[in-house]
Amino acid sequence: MKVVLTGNPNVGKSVVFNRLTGAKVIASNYPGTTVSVAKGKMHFFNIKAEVIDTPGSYSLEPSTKAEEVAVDLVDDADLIIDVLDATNLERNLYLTLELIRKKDKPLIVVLNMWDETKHKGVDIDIKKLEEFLGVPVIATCALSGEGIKDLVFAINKAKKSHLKDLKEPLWIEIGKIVEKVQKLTHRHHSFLDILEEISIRPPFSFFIAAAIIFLSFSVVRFVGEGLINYLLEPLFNNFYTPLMMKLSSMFGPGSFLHSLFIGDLIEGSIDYGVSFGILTTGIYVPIAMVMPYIFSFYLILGFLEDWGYLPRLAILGDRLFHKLGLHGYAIVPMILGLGCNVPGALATRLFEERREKFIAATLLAVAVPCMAQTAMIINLLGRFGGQYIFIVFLTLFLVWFSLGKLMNIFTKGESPEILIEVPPYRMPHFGSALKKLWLRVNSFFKEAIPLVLLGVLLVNLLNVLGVINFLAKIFSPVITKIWQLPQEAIGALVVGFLRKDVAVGMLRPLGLTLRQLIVGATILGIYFPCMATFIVLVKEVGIKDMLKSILIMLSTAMIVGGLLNYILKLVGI
Amino acid sequence: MINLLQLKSNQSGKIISIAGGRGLVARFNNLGIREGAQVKKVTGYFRGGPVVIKIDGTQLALGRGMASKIMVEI
Repeated sequence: MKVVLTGNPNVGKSVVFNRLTGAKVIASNYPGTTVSVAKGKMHFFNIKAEVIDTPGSYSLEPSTKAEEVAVDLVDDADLIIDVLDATNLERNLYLTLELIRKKDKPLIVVLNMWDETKHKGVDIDIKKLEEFLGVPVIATCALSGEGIKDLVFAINKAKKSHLKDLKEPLWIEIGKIVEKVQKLTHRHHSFLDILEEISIRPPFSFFIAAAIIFLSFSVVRFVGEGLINYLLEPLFNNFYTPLMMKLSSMFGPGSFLHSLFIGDLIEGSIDYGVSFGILTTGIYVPIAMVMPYIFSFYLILGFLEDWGYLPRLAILGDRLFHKLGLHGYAIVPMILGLGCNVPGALATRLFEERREKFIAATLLAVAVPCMAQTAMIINLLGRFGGQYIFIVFLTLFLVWFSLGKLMNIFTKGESPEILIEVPPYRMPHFGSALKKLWLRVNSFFKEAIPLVLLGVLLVNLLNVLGVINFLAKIFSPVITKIWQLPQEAIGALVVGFLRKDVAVGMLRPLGLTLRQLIVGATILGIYFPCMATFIVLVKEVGIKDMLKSILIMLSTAMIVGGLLNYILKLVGI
Repeated sequence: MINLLQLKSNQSGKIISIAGGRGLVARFNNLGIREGAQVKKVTGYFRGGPVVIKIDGTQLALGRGMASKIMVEI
């Protein structure tokens, strides 16, 4: 049996899905968290089913690609579980009645977020609604798991609704139903309501946004650095390094195995930033340098997502994004991209127009560094002072802005306007937030670490096979003349196709000057996205737009690298 | 009859008509922005920013061009 979850955006389909299948997909408090389909198996008592989670949709006439996917899946369903936001019955019933009218399939209606109805002054008569719709109606609070058991037992009772032949326009029919089943009582403004108000009302909203952004970055850095300095570095130094030193003397310095697994010894000992063996740098970079920042970034992002702040930030940033040919909701792929460009690239599905997707995808790939890369840049430049890290990010931001502006001017078409639902603020649910954090850190481990190891292996192979020397000669004009980097830096550019963190790490053993480090780190951000992002982007925007995008990336890297080098020289760095 | 931009913050009105193409009317309709609905303006930015409204208890943010096409009666 195929069970498809449908519903408006941000009603909690993914949470219900996780509850039903035990599977784990990311759920947040903003419309458009789910942009692709997730499948899972459900097995309770004698009920077995395949459950499919879909991106939210307001109607059966999709306006974005994400919605299209959802609507297509409904046709294959044996049973539809239509998830509604109970505090928003009227708007949510639109899709329900459309499903009944156009699809005629067995249906269960779930009134999720039932716990919120009480303090919102919403009183829904479930029995009456069941009578009206002619299908089972279940109240749930998926976050805490309440009502999920009832939902499972209702699966055998699902049936087609008798409302198929509604005569009047849907909103009129909905009005009739809502009038009978729902009572609203007035209630006083709560603290969260007031907070909601001021966080979108200028000028306070802008101060609040600035404070939240500043605070977020500070916490990310504080937690990330703290984990490195007080947990991971000591752990490695006290337990891992002795082990590696033993291995080193076993292999014998200079042997093939030694240079592959341990790498170069620096003054007789292992330097994780320079040695570049698979078991030394290959393990240290992802676990002790990058993972702490991944953890701290997603800790904060998860909180902002679940709290419901992202849509507000989208409203405040709308004007800025308009200058780049996008609308405010483009903040979602950009912020996700700061964690990892892959989910950022997938989130471009939230856009309607091809032009928008193209601009957003290019900006993401060129000027939004992922957390793995950021962590390595902090490590690389932090020892010289925070201002140098700032130069890299300021450059990337200026590139992001000017490139967006240029693309807005030179790409045909208009910027569409924002049209989004702004969810209420919600207290993040601790357990779910923790699960989401674990999910993201875990996927970093599973997907990134093999690639990092492969990257370090590649560095060694390229060196042994002389490929780096060969490429270095070919590209030497650009690298040495325009960027004024040593030609060996080509190695970092090659590995950067695979993993940006390893690539940034490769700059260190080259013995560069501070200026060269800054230029190198910036170029590595701009010239090309990593392989994983590239593949997703090709799928999302198509090969033709991607080729255009690559052309932009390469020329931007060339120009900005040269310019940055020149300016830094002028100011005496 | 005025459009949504002209409505003041915290003022409510009833949507009389939507002066847009079929595509826009359909997208609005899916979100509950429809003729006859009660709408409250939560906030509208002077110069360029989107307008935030409340319909059926849901908050929606929409661009100014879109907002200018929604005609309301106070």
